[in-house]
Amino acid sequence: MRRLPAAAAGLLLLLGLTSATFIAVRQPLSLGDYLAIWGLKARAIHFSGELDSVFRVDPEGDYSHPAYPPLWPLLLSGASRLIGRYDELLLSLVRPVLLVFGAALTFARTRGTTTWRLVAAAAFTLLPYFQSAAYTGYAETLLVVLVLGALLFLERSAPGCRASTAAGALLALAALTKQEGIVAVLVVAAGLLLARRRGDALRVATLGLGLGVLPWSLYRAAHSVRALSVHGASAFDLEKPLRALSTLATEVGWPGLFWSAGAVALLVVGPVARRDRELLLAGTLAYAALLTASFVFARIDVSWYVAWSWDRLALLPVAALLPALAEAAAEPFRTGEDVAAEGSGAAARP
Amino acid sequence: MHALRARRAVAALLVGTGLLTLSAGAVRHDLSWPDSLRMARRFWRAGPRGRLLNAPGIARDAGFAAEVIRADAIWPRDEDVVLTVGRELAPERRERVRRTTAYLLAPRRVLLEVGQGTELHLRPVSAKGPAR
Repeated sequence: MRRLPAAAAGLLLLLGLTSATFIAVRQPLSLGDYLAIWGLKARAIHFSGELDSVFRVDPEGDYSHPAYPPLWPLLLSGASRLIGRYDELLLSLVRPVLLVFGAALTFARTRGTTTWRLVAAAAFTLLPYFQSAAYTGYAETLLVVLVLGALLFLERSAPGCRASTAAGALLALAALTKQEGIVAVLVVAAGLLLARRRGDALRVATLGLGLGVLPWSLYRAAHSVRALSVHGASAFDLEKPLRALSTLATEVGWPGLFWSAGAVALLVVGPVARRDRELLLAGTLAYAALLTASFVFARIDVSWYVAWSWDRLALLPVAALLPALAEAAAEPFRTGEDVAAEGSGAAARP
Repeated sequence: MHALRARRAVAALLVGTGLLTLSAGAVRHDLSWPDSLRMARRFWRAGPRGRLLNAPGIARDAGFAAEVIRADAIWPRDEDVVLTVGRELAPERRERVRRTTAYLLAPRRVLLEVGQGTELHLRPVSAKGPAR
């Protein structure tokens, strides 16, 4: 009787992986931000062999955002070296590989029976971001995999010095992938502080900022590239986050409201999961609040900015929350056998 | 007992609805499956140059992109390039051509120059520009 739901969840996972892989590899990477930002920089690094070529290709920073961190273009150019040439079609294989990592991490982070862990992993692969051809060459998949990896280390039942060191290193890589990674470093470190894990918080903050933010900032400064072309202190305006929220409400609309209400309802039917995961929930809310607050400094039109990026910005918090939602949904179905099978580790987790 | 049943029902309903909605996105793509398969077959059978010219984002200016790819093969990689775009070209197309050219010619720097009418022209910085 228990095999049927597990098989159904497994089939959904397979559907998500197959469909996302097919969409990713059916055409070369050459749309939107891939062509203007990530691919342009990856090709520049590949053909010049120099990292600072990412600043030369668009010196005025009109469209390529020279200040963006370089890990994704470096990974693409590194993969090209392995392939033997810069081939946009063969590079499209990178995303399915990352997707498998992301699904595995979601499975590993979810506490409960195999069925519910498969449900969480399946939901991850079925997220609209992975089921769209529009974002195949974008950097968010790598960012998500790195942050989920860090969370896995920190959520272990008996996290120690090594776990927080590994998490800090992964978050440093996340900060080198996209600027949202810096927000993730800050939120995770603050969360660990709240949980009175001061040593872990210090390690995560030191590694995340020391390896993920400082070197790239210095390198950028040495090449006279200003921090972010889309943000700046001179653009400060307290009304902008409100405008951002208003645009977000318009963009997300009723479907967004239903998804949010559904998530809240799941957390209501699973009070134990909600309590166990309160730090993750608080961290996710803090991450979203910080991103919204960052619009205070937006140089470009906030409404356009939100409409252009909200679905990509939402990917990380949604992916991070999936295990908590699966655990909350699983809670009413838990039996004594399940609890015994899961062991006593869950109670000790943050 | 009733409360537990109600919680189970709510959880099952929410998870089922959520997964079904997400699965619909995986089943219904932007193109039909046969069209998607045709597209995949076309790209995987083509050579690197053909793929690039037919890639979305580049295909819309395939003629000019072919010229850029030819230039990329001949011109030195350390020399900047001047892209002349006519002032009568639509701003959207001008920007698209500029980005595509920068992408195809990376790591060269592509300098933008406003030209006459709808002209679209590419030359290395060292070459003399057309008389105006």
